Amino acid sequence: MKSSRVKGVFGVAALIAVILGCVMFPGYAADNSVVLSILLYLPGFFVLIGLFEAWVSRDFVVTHMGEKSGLKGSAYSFVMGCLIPGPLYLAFPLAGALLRKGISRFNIVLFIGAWSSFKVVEEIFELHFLGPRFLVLRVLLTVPFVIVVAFIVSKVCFDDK
Amino acid sequence: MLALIFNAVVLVVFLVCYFRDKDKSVHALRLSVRSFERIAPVFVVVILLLVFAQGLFSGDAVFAYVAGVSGLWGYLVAAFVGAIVHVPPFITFPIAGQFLASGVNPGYIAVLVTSLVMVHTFSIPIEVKELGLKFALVRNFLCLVFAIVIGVIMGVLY
Repeated sequence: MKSSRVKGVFGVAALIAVILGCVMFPGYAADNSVVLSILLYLPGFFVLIGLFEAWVSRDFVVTHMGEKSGLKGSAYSFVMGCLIPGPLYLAFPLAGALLRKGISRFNIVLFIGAWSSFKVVEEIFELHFLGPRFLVLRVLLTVPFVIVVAFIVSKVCFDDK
Repeated sequence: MLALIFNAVVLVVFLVCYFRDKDKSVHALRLSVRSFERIAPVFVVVILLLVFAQGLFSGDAVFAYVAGVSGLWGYLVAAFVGAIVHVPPFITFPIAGQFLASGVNPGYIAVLVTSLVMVHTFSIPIEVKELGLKFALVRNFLCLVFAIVIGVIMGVLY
């Protein structure tokens, strides 16, 4: 417990150093927008995770998104993944929090799949730059694969927990 | 911009919670700090990897490289390049649009876009920390394979 605390504080310090370094030496990275977007998203994300852990009851998550929530639970997970903005690597801490609250394994992989491929704000970009034909074809082709990935991963990858 | 709106929304949610139950919301903030501390050491590694991947290739260079390959080999190259390199979606789509308009095989573009958004090699440390090694490896591998399948079908249908 103590040593994990020390590691955490060290990690926070190192993170601040890395971000400062990126902001102060803009020449190295192709552009700094990525590091800046992490900087901007971090506070909102971790406050959200804290609020979720403190306010949302386990029962609520289990009934609406748990093993027995059926199609409706999967639909909730999918839509939630589409709506929350932010890069994929910030979805994992949120997914971890959801999993500890009792969301089903299938739904959590579906959530991550939707998050990565069908983010509403990104789809507007795709529609604008790649056109409706590309967008519709890609979405129609990707949805079944996201479901298959969710099925396989939820069956195979959780034996350690 | 989107990040600022997101933060504003979270702030509003927090304030609503705060007025309803002060102690519970302060406790929530404590949980936020704890979960951040837990993931912070891994985050440092991921950000370093990310900055490294960004420093190596710009979005334009990635698409130009893939556009230069031809035949079935191009699908494989697009998938692996998309898996290793990181280009944020808001930069990916405008560049992808340019290359699509200039006549690059739409199949390659579909593979590259799918692989860029779904397969994140550099953030595997976070995925492993939160969801386990097996989860991270299998999910990324499956997405890589499916990116190629999706792209090949797109190449035929588009």
